[in-house]
Amino acid sequence: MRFVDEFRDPELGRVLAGEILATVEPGRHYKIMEVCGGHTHSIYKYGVDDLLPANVELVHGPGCPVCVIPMGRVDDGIALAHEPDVIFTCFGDMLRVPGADGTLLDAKARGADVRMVYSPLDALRIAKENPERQVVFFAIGFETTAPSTALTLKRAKTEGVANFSCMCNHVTIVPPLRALLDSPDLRLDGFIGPGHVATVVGGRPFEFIPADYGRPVVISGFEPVDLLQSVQMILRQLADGRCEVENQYARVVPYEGNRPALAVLAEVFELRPHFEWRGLGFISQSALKLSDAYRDFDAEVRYRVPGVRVADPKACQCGEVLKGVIKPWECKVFGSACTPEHAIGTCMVSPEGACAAYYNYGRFAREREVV
Amino acid sequence: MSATPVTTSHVAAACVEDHCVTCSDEARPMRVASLGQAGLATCLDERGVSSEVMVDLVGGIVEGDVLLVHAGVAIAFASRAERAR
Repeated sequence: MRFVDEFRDPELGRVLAGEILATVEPGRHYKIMEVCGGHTHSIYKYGVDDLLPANVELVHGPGCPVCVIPMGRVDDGIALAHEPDVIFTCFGDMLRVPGADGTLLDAKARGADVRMVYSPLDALRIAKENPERQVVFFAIGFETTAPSTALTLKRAKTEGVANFSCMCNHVTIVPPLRALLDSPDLRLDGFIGPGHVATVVGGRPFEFIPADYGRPVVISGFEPVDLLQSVQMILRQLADGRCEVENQYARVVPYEGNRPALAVLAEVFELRPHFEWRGLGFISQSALKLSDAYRDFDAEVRYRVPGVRVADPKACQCGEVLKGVIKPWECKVFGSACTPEHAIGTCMVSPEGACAAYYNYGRFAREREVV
Repeated sequence: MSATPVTTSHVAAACVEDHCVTCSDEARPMRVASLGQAGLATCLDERGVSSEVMVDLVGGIVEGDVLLVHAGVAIAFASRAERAR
């Protein structure tokens, strides 16, 4: 497909790898964080890190919404799934995320009507097909996914689908980035910015990173050539002593974002005062809830949600992985007690999680050779 | 520890091309096959699988446009079909 194939061109990749090697300063160690789980997945699927010099380290950020869901929210979802007459709908990955008392799949095995959907629109369709039941959609995702939930809720309101509601877990990308930058145990040289979040929010929300923290940001596409070029652009900024937001993914991302999407987000959602992130703790104004205009569709208003707070399992080091403090293989349970088939931590559940990406693509090598 | 990649069929079953639709950030390119009613369009993915997509956020689409689709909503154009003159 056009706009995909040319960004997987091996020859272009080799040229960029050569340029990267020529740009790095020998003896200097570079730590670059890819914020987005989609980037993490592409990096290990295509072996992008194998094309980088050993002193350029990619650090995997908190950009997988499944991975940052705290166990308590999963337990709240399971409690809703067990409500009488409820059909509980969510994306496939959420089914396997462990709470304190098992997963949503376990709840399904115990009799709860839990169904996987590919989009919130599918959940709305189920509600229309089952008017005698209540359909709850467990919404997760960053600003890329939130417009889909928002448009679906608008449709539900317009069409008067009263048996549809949403348990909202949508999160926003800027507050956790600020929390990471304020973290004393993490030193980063630059950021590969999340391309499709930027499609919605644009480039401006990331300007605080160069302005307040003096770190370059390059908004990137998801193909291997995109990622190599973005690494090269960050290294070029560092070499030139520049520090700004650049847009490598300009073929898709308008710098001002998608205005209709931002408008529908503003109509349907409002910021929560605070929200818990796995591994990062509570972060102020980092998540969305339904606005007053959509209160009737808020599952947390319609039902009594327990509001469970659960500490992560002691053996699990998802928090350190999400902050990029340790690599997945450095976790005590990686690949032994914690595997995609039997995950302890969320990072092993989603294919976008750093641990699953390492595990699925056999990236167990702890030493890299300079290309 | 084995360095052999592990097949995770349950992951493949839940995701498109082993890539999850709930990812934080990645949308998939889909080609508009036909325009429907009320802000919906039928779109085909890279493998030719069709699905109904909400197109409220991308104005002025025509058949043949390639859209970036995430969780059932088009959030941007990947490329535009040649418009009739």
